[in-house]
Amino acid sequence: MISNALSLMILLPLLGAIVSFFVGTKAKFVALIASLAPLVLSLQMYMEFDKSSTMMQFVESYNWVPSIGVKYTLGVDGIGFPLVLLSTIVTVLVIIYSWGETKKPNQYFALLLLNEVGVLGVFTALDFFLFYIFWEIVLIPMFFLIGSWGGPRKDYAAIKFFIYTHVASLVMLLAIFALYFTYQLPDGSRTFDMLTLLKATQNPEIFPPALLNIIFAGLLLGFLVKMPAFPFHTWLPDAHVEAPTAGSVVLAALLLKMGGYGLFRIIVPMLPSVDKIFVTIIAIIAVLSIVYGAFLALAQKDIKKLVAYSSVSHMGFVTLGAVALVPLSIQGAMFQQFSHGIITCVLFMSAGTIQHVVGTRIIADLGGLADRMPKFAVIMMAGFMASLGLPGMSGFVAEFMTLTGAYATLPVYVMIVVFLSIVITAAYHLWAMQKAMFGPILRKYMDVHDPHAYELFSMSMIILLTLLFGLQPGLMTDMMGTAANQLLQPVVTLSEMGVI
Amino acid sequence: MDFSHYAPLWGEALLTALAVLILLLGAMMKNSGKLPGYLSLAGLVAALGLVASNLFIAPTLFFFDTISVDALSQFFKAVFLIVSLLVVIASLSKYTGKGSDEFFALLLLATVGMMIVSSSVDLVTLFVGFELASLSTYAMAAFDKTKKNLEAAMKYFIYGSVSSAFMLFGFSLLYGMTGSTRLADVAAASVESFGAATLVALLFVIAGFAFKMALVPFHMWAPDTYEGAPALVSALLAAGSKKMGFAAAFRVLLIALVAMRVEWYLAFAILAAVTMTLGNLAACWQNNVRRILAYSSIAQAGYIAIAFVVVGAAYGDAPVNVLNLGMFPADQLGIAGALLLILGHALMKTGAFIGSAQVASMVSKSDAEDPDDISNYAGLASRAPVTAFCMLIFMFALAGIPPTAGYIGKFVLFSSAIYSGLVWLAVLAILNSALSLVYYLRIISYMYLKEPAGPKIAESKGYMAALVLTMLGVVYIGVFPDQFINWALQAATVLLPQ
Amino acid sequence: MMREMGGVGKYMKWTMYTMLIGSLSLAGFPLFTGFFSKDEIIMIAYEYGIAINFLPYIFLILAAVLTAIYTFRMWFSVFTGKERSNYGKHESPWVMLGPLVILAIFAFAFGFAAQHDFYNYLDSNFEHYDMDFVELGIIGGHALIEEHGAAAEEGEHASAEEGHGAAAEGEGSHAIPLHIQLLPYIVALGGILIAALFYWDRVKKFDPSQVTGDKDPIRKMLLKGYYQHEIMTGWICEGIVYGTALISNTIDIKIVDGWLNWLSAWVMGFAGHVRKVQTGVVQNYVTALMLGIVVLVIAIAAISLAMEVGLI
Repeated sequence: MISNALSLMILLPLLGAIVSFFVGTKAKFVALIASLAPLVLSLQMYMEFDKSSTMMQFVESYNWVPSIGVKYTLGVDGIGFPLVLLSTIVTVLVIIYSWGETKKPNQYFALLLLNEVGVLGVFTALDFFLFYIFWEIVLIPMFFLIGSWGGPRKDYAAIKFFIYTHVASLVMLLAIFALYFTYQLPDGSRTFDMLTLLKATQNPEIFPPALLNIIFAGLLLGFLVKMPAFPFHTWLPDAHVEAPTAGSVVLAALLLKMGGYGLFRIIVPMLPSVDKIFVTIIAIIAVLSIVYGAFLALAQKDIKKLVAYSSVSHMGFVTLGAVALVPLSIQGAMFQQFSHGIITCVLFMSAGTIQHVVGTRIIADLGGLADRMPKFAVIMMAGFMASLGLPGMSGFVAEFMTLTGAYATLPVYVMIVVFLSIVITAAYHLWAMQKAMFGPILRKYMDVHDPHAYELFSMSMIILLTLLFGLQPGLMTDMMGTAANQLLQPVVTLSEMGVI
Repeated sequence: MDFSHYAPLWGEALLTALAVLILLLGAMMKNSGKLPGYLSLAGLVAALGLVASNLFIAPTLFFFDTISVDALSQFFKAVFLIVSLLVVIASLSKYTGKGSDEFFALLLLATVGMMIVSSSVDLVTLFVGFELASLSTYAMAAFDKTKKNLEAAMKYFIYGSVSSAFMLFGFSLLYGMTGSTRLADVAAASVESFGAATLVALLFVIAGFAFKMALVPFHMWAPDTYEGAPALVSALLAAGSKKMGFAAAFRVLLIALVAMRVEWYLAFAILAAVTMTLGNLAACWQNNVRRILAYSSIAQAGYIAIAFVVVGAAYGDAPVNVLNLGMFPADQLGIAGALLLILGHALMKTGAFIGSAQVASMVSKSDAEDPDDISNYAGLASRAPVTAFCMLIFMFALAGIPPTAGYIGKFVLFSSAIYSGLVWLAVLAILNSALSLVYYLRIISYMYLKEPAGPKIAESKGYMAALVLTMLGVVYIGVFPDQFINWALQAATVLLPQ
Repeated sequence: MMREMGGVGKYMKWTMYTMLIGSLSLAGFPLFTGFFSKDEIIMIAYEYGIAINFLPYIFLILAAVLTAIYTFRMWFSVFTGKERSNYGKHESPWVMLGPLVILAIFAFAFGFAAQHDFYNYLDSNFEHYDMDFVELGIIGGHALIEEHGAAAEEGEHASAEEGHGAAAEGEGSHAIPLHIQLLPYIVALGGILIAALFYWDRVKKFDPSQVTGDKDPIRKMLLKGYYQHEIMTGWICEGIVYGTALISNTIDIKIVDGWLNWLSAWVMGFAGHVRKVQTGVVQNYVTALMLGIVVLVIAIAAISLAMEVGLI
């Protein structure tokens, strides 16, 4: 394996972004190459990844600003690596899907690549300072994607997205600072190293409970807003609906997972040390996200907004699994994150294609499209089935694991509510699909046709992936299981692991 | 005369001589063309080189102990010279030919005045330098001779004169009470005989400095002046003379006031908090980009003023292991943070104003009522890509988004606040940073998200060069902050010997 | 639709007769397959009735009656009588009739021919299970077997392999009164008779409209399947579930999102007021300067005073 593979993986899209910006209409080729390279790298890393190891792998660490205690540290384990793979795969497919973009393509592809850079950085950074920088970097390309290529209310949506998530990030930053200032290394210096600080939080002498609760709340807020969890989800529908399709896909598939990643990496190790009330609060938030999100999806007339709320609902499962604190549920929640990341691509791509080909996204106006767009209909149906948790696809495995695990620790009535909301989930998916695709074709859609080959290609790749992981979840869940077990043990720092 | 003894002061001498020379040239030559500009450029570069060679000089006194050249003075001189340099580079395209000699001469003299202030340890020299800079900038503010310029300059002049009067009054009171004009002596004498009169004197002095720093409630001239003066002069004002106020304040307040152990920091905490919040809130409503920048400067001055509060709260506290820098007292860290933010802000604001100058100069060719109105920035990204990108970086840096100079300065400063127990102030400052995003994002969204308001702009070389240099500086400090943090700490050591 | 049929038997003889066999079996006509299985169950229900309560038995008998009635209502209306519409008048092809005949044979013969073998076959499947039939025989705290004498207990153990069928038969023949045993026959025949009286033109005595009509609420309820569709789809789905969804949507837009917009409006409003302080008149500025100094002096003096006195 190349040394500094992770840095290379982050650097290549950055270079690609810069080059894309200047090449004009050929940008899509540059972008494709710049995104395939990290994909190849990540697949190679997958081959070499030790799934049963609890240590951080592919670690690289350099002193960056020693006077403040900031190190440039990257590394992956079972929590971050699946998301790294997800990012590289999704970016490639999104770029292929956007092959036909005509409005300022150089900037468009550059921004998509920049998103990849930020997201990869978040999933691999092991230093809080670095983590925060990448966290913030992600906001900028998305802001421009929504604001420049978006729908009618793009300005409102872009600014709302930026300020809402940025304020939450600032609260998170305050919490990070509090962590940083409270903990001192034996030689008196301070550090931003993530695992060291997390390990310190498990020591009540260093972090008194009152302080730890406040820090925890700050960090939690940052992640909950990102996921997004009820009641901090309201930036999502606007951002998703107004964003261009590729932007929506990246937003749903990658950015939301940043919140989930933070949940597993930072929140779960801290949970045993903070007030027990937090578990209840997070559990309530999770269940409400699932149920409320499902009901809201049912009420939507716009298919893209329906998919957006379904994201809220599905990410609620991630929160639920994480807070149940059982290895199986944590593993399931991680897999749910991964699976949702894949499936939501095809959902948004479908919505985008419908908008593009038919001209409207209002479900009530659609009908019988399968007649004229057979290939697309098959893919869309497969996607919607995957999303509602059809066995054989990854979503089912994920939900099953999560709920089985959660059943062990959460009260029965909670589980009943969640199960009932699965019914609602099926309801809105089926209704949307049936109304849009089946039934008699409306006269005004007689000229509609299947979308371009590149759009179909990306979407079918997604379906294949969800089938692959539905039938062979072990490919991912093995490393997630190791990580999940490890999360319930005391934190081990990088130096204790011996990887630095 | 042993000239080599005065080597550290050759910079000031050179610039003064150059100013006179340029004036003479202007008087003698019909059309001096770009010569004054290039001469100023050369002089400033030379002076900067001189200062750079002396950055960590041990405190050296000159002129009967009224001028001290030490790490702190060199820091500020570097800031002033860089700002002036950038302004001159940008001015090369704008101010040429007849009348330009006065512009550059005034600019050089203003710079000299600022440099003197940063070096003074005596009330009189402080005043002389202060007034030299102020008078030069009063004249520069009216330079383009438009109605707006004149109004801006008048307000600036009237307000400035009143504050100078207060300042001088304070100085004379201090002299009367302590019998000396040297700051060290004032400090020593005031400790024994501190009373109401000393308090009033010091507050008068503070009013004079606060005017330059544009702290509430001495800020009211700033929005009108920054908006009305020629753009490059506003850059000098916001980045240069505002920092001069801080330089003077650091010297006087910290040496004299602290010695008296007055727990005045609470009042200043309120002042800083109000300044930040008022600046940020007022900026949200503005439609004139220069006014936005003016209020933003006011808010930034509020952040920097946190250093005073930190010093007041933590003066004399035992050194703690600060970040990873070693054992430093929190107050020193506070000053270091302020210095970093001063450096960063100087660069960011200079760049922002030069950017606005670029846009205004193009727009005023067509007949727009207000060349600085934000609607002129619509679609700037496609009309003037370099300018728009640099402005983007400046806006993000001002908002404190990593990894930029603004972020580093704020980080060090706010950490010092936390170290000295003023957590609420740090939290308030961070929330203000979030609030400031509103108007920074507004400018960005106009530049990048809206349809172009006009045809492509030909970006003039001088402006572009200045913008790109500044932008690179802002990013460099943000990505490699280590050396700058150390530098600031060294400079801070001068004020608070351990 | 049945109202469009009538007199089909004239044209579809094979269909008519196989249908007849099937209907007889369904209605529980003696000797047909359906009768045997029904009879077993009804007897057990009677025993249950003796032991605990007769509710299941009553319902079973009622069901048997109704089954007979509706089955033959169907047969009579469809295959006998006058044609009520212009339908195609030909028999089905042999590919369809073949299976009909085969099934009809089973419907007729399987009962008396293979009943006991079938029971033995079923029981043999349970050999491998560790089931305690004594326990199984306990329903509601009452042991069916004990009520009916010790002989049954022997019979239980001895015929444990044969399962409940034999035991039940043995008991049934002891304790069940004759009229009860005859009831299934009566019920089946009675039901067919009633259907014939209503629907067979040859012996038609009564008319359905004498019993019920279009306005009859009971009939409506039955037609609508106890309003299950209305309740399920109408009330629960569209009403409760979709209603909740719409309410949630409104809440989301107005409240959960609304507070954001309210907050930003408030901040901007506040900012708007703040900016009005800047009047543009330089005299105001200088006045503010003076005021500022005065306020500062007072504030600092007050603070130092408070400190000296010991308040802070």
